[in-house]
Amino acid sequence: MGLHALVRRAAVSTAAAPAIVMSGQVVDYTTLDQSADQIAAGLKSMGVKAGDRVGLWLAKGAPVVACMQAILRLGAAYVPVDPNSPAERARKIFTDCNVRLVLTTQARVQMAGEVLEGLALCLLNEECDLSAPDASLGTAFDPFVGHAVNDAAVTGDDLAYILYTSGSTGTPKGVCITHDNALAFIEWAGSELRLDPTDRLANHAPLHFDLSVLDLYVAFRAKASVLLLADGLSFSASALLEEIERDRPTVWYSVPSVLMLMMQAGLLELQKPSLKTILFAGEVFPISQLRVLRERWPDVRLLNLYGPTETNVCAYYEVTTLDPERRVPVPIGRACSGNKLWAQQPDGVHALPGEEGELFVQGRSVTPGYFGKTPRGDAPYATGDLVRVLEDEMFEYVGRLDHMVKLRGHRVEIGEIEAALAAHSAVQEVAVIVDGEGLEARLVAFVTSQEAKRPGLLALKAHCAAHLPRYMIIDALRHLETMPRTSTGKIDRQRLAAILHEPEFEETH
Amino acid sequence: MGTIFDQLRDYVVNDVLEGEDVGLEATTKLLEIGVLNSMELMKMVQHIEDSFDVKVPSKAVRAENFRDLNSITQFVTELQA
Repeated sequence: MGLHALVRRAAVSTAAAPAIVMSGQVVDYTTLDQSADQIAAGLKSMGVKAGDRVGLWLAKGAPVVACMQAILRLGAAYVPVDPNSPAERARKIFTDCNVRLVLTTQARVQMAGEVLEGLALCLLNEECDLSAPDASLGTAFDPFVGHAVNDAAVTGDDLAYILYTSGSTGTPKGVCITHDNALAFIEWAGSELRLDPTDRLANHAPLHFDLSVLDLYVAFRAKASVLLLADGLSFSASALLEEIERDRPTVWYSVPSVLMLMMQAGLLELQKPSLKTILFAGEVFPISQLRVLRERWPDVRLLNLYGPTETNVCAYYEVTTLDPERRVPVPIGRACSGNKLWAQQPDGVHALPGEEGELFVQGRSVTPGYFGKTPRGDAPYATGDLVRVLEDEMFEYVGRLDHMVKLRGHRVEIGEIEAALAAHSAVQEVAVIVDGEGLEARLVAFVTSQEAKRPGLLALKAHCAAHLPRYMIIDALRHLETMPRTSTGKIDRQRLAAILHEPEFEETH
Repeated sequence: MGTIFDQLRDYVVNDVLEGEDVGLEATTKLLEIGVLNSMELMKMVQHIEDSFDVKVPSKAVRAENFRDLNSITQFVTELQA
């Protein structure tokens, strides 16, 4: 079975049920299925065949989701790129994995100019309302209305999609995900979440980000619907709240930062909230904020999911009750999606409970490798994350091995400082970066807080001093109205470093 | 004594705390909460020598002399005497 079988199956049994909801528009399973066939027929006529890669440079919407299904039906793999990506980066990605063609819009092609030269482009109307009687996906696809295609026979090892992540060297790396990788994860998530067709999964993450895979395919697996939240919405917490109130998703999945922004904007004050399950991943959820969420919404299931793009979700932890004395983030939990997890010390010895080591993952949902690089086979994947082994086969995140810094001779974990500061009552969000090098290296904390109780540097130093070794006390503090974020919603640390050195940056008191 | 205190306070506020003085008292425990870490302590000693025209013996760089603004003020006053 291929990943695309999920929509096919839902279209057979729940034809008129909503598959995709966005900005008030509803696309049912039959329409999604037929649109995907139409696009597949069009792509086939342009030469797309099994084993190809097809680039997607389109804004979030029902059309791009139909494109994904179409590409899979042909036995090809899709390569979604940030719709707001600079053309240069998009070209780099499409060239790296040698796409057969790129589905994009006239506007992007015009903006990109010569940058896309040499790539086969196919224009599509990304805003097309698929459910409208006169829906037009564009002249390339209009002749194929009503056409059907037979699904290509795929094996579990065939590529389903490639997600590009930023490499530590600055060159994006294409993480190859096979049908079996994705299905291992989707099957696990689907059974863990126990959904039915009345459920609605909110898709906050952009489609080039691995969180979105759960939103789409777990919804399709359950014959439920997915609520697509437009790319631009992710920066306005109050706009997200309006969507939640109007379209009433039952499952939310995002990075904790976004959840915290929504909490700030009044999420917890919503009347009769529709959410039954909240999932979060991608960064550490500050314990003080997680506690607020847990206490205010005791009946909502809270799950922390863990996994680099290379492994899909390979560990999870359900947050039940939180010890009031707890000062550290919740564990990343135990293995899932058909994987084995262990922590390995530098000498190769497996860490025992109480010990730390680098987290290794091996199993069904782990990538076979980066596109164009030597395949990894089923070798264990080294996450680069330092974890502590707990009892009951659980793991606790300690820090990023390559974020580990030496500060005035001491080994410093940035995450630990952030966790400590996040536990301060006046701190809403915090990120700490190291500024400068050697003896001049300083720990700079960026903090968001409520205007009325903005914490001072001395107060936070005293707070650090109460929870951390002396050498981990912050040296400087910057107050921010909002944290800068990457397109995937994580705190943008590079931007923070840049802010620090902007001469026009004025501290606002 | 007032001028030494004020001068030291200005130094801590402007050169160590980047201009922030909220909560900085004469008895704020500068070493304990990391306002004066090893680097800052070194710079502060240099500053004292330059501004007050005194020599700070390395043996005198002890916690009791740099605990808070009051103790540093007293320390500098004694050095000048």
